[in-house]
Amino acid sequence: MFSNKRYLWKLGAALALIAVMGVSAARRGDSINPMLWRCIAEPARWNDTRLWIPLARIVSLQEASYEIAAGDPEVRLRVEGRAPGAAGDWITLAGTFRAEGPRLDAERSRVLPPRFRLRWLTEAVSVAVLLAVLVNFARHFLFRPKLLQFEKGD
Amino acid sequence: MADLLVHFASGFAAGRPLRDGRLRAILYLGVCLPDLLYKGLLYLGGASNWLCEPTHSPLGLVLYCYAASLLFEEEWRKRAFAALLGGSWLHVLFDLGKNYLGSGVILWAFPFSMDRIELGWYGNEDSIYFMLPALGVILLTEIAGRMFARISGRRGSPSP
Repeated sequence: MFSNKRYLWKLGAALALIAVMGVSAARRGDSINPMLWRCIAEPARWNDTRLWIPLARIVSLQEASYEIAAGDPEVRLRVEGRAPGAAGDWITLAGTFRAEGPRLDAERSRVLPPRFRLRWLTEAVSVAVLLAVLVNFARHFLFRPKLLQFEKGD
Repeated sequence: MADLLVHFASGFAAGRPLRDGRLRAILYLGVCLPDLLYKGLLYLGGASNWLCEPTHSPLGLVLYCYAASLLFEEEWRKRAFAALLGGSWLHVLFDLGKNYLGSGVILWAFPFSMDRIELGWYGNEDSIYFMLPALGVILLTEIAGRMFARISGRRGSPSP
């Protein structure tokens, strides 16, 4: 399995399986948690679909519902239920999409704290960590002809 | 890769007892591998989110790690595969704790099922709170490793 025997076949088979796996996930996942704009564009198709919207902004409040703006491209949607925050707050919510309206029957929601805007910081730190890990890996495994020559000559 | 520092800290703590610095280097790479693959496919490859999801599924990672291990020289492949897979699974284990309002994100039985799970212990935005503790874990692990090396009489324990 790990030998050099039929090396290219093994590598090719592994890469082919990875590609099949990705395409399979993309096809089977297409109907799970679709983008909001797809639901708005074809409400009947996505009726009763469960949605998780990771980031949305409360645009306006009514007595028993509220309107959110979310997604890229940004679309607006009415959400049934009490708003978890005030107009202008950023929230995350999950619920069931209904073609009638269209609307979202919210099941769970919460206001995102201001620190969610600091995501750039965690991303920057993550990039630095990744670079350090790659440098450390290269230090151990990078082919260094000068070092080899030195060792031979020594 | 919102919180690679935390993932690295977990890999650092798990890998510090390994004597071979090269094996540790592969383990650290394994801990970063799921996010590296996901973001690479998403942003560099322009793939859809679902196409990238197998990079965070236990069985999907077996294939990715096997393919990656074939890039090592023959006598290193088994160890490289084990270290990459161990690191990757550790990453997925930590991601399992995230809160996606019950929607789940880890395809735990892919390709046999599209069922997604989560433990819901912390939100994505809480990652920033774990950065300092993660640095503490790295520091304490390093100190403990050096003390253990001194006590056991080993000298010059290679640093990562």
